[in-house]
Amino acid sequence: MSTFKEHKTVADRSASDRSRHKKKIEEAIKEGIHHIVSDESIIGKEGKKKFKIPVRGIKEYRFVYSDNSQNPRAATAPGKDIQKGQQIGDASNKQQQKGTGEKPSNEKGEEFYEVEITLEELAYYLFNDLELPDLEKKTIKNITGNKYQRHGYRPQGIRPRLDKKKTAIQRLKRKAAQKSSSPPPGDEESFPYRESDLTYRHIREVKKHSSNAVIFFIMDISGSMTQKKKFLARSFFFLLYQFINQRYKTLEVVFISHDTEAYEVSEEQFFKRGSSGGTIVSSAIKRVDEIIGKRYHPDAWNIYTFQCSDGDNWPSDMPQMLESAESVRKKCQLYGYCEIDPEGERTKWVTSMSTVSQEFEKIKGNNFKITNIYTKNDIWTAFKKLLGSSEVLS
Amino acid sequence: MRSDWDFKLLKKFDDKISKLSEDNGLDWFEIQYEVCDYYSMIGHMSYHGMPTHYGHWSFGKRFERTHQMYNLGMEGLPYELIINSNPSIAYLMRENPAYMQILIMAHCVGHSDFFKNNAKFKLTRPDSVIQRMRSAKKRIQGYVEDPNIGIEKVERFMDAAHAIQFQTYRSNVVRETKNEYKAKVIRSVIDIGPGETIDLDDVDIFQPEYNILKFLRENAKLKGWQIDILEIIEAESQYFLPQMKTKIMNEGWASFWHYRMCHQLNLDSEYHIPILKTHNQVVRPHVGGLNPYHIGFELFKRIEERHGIEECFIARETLEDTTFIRNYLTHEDCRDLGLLLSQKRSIKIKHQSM
Repeated sequence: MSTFKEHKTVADRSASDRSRHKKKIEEAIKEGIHHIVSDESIIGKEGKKKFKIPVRGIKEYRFVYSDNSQNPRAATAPGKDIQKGQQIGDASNKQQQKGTGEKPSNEKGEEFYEVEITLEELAYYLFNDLELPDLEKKTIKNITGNKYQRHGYRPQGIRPRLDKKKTAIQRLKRKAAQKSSSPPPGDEESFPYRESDLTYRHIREVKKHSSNAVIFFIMDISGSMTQKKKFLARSFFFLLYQFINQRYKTLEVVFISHDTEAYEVSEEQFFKRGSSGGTIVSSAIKRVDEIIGKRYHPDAWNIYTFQCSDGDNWPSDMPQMLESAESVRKKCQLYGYCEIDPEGERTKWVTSMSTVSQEFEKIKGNNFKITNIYTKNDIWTAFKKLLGSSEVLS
Repeated sequence: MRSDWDFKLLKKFDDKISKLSEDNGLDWFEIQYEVCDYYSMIGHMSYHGMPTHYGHWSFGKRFERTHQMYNLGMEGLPYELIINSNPSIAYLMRENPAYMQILIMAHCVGHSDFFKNNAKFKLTRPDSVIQRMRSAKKRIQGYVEDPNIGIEKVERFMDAAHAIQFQTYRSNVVRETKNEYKAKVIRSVIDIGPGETIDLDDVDIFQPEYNILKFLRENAKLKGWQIDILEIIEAESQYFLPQMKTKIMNEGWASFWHYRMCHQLNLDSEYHIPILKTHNQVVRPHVGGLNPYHIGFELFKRIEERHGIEECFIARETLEDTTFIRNYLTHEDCRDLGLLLSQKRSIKIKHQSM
């Protein structure tokens, strides 16, 4: 005789192990994520939009039998009359694949998960261990807003903040105290709450402080910026922008695009605007200097400037550019310059003209950084070089 | 989503099956059937069917995988899940139709009988396995919650320990512990009679050890909780190894009996025909692989034909897969069942999971 019963639906028993597994996957995402930062599909996406990325399954390591082709393996035949030495299968299709792929493909398929994440999450994974360097405490602080925090208990308060548990305890205390002093007149049943038992949670307003910071984005939009270069520059700025958005909620961003003249533009214009005209880099840097002078006093603001160009500049502008860059650099926590040179295009040109980066090399100072982007795979490296941890700074 | 059965029907058939099984000479643990939905089923499957089990992310992974495959329709769920405990706990999936439940119940009796009688299972202590698993779960949970240890360390250690989980004894022999061995060696030195000599070089202080888990437990510099985790994992291997070593026999035996009893039950054709269909599905040969149901079932059938049913009972009690096949599988059987050894030349047969 057996027994039968309806299975008790225990709370989803594997839930906690699944969440641990998910955490592991997240770590895997973090590791492999750099390959997708330069993927066209994410550039220009809105923060809430989801996209899918493949993530390799998390392995459990075990001893397994090797797939040694010399070892015979036991199996069941498709038919009954199999002769010794007969061919029973054909792996030639798989062998072909083996030749073309980077890895032999006749092994068991690796497990892949498709993980859906939003750009916000992606930014979180990407930028988790990066910081804006040297965020100095400047004299004036911004008050970004008020937060409410629990802060002890009070006998007065509004009804919604009544703490029932504390109140009940208060009553029990009173009861115990009364019992020990004078025994109650027999009636155990009624020991009502008193006004004085009521206990309320107290809530305190906390002001949140944060540092002032402003970021300048400078992009070359002159005619020499080809489609490809612009794409790289945009990807770079886009990443940077996502990073800043994700990290510092109270930070101001100024977008400046320039050809022979500099324009302060909106975010949308900055990323979408077409290009034409010649290049005078100093115009943009001067504009930054001007804006700093007008709106962001270096004593009160942490200033970061990032500039992207293809390295072309009007030769006679170079000295001026250097001078203004030096002046801006002094006011900045960090001045990052990123030169875009798709697939070493520049090296094909034998010119006596020096590039912006070569000129910039002359600027000394720990807070001035130069980096190069050749292909889209370099975006992340460049990014890390600019914002990376102390190893770069030191 | 109740289908064409209810508990009354299950009970009715269980009574019949129990009666038949007794008449057939089976001797099984009481079975406790639990009716659950597919989601709980996947939940239990992920933990080897154990109703309680320690947690580890790999089980979460297993769940996700099975769930994904099931939802994509790439994989079905096993019809039956029964564990070696006393009473044996078996899960019946609510979604299955009546004929399937009858088939499963008959099948489960076979398994339970095998658990109870096969020599390999003698040390698995089915009476207390649930309690042991529960205690292991609590202990590991304790280490996870211990502020001095925490999930990261526990997980790291368990990942490593799982990797060598089956690098342990494969047979039931009770072996001496390190301390017992040490005591023996020391005694052999102490007990030297007057006038006798002993060459200390001949005394082996260490004995070779292939149970890596045990070796680590006894010799590695481990903390208490780590030793405990190794013990838990080794105990689990010891519990599951008999099932791994008797997969063919166990499934063969259960299929042998469900097939036989479903005939003896004199079922209406509304049940009998789908049962036969399912049975044939289950014991069909897997081309390119080995189906333990197929080989086990066919072999028990042949043993009965050749040596009588008594011999089947002897085999189920004394053997494991390797000896079972060595003792009973003939060359003709191989030919008949299409069993072969294959080797890759430039040729390879298709991989297929069993």
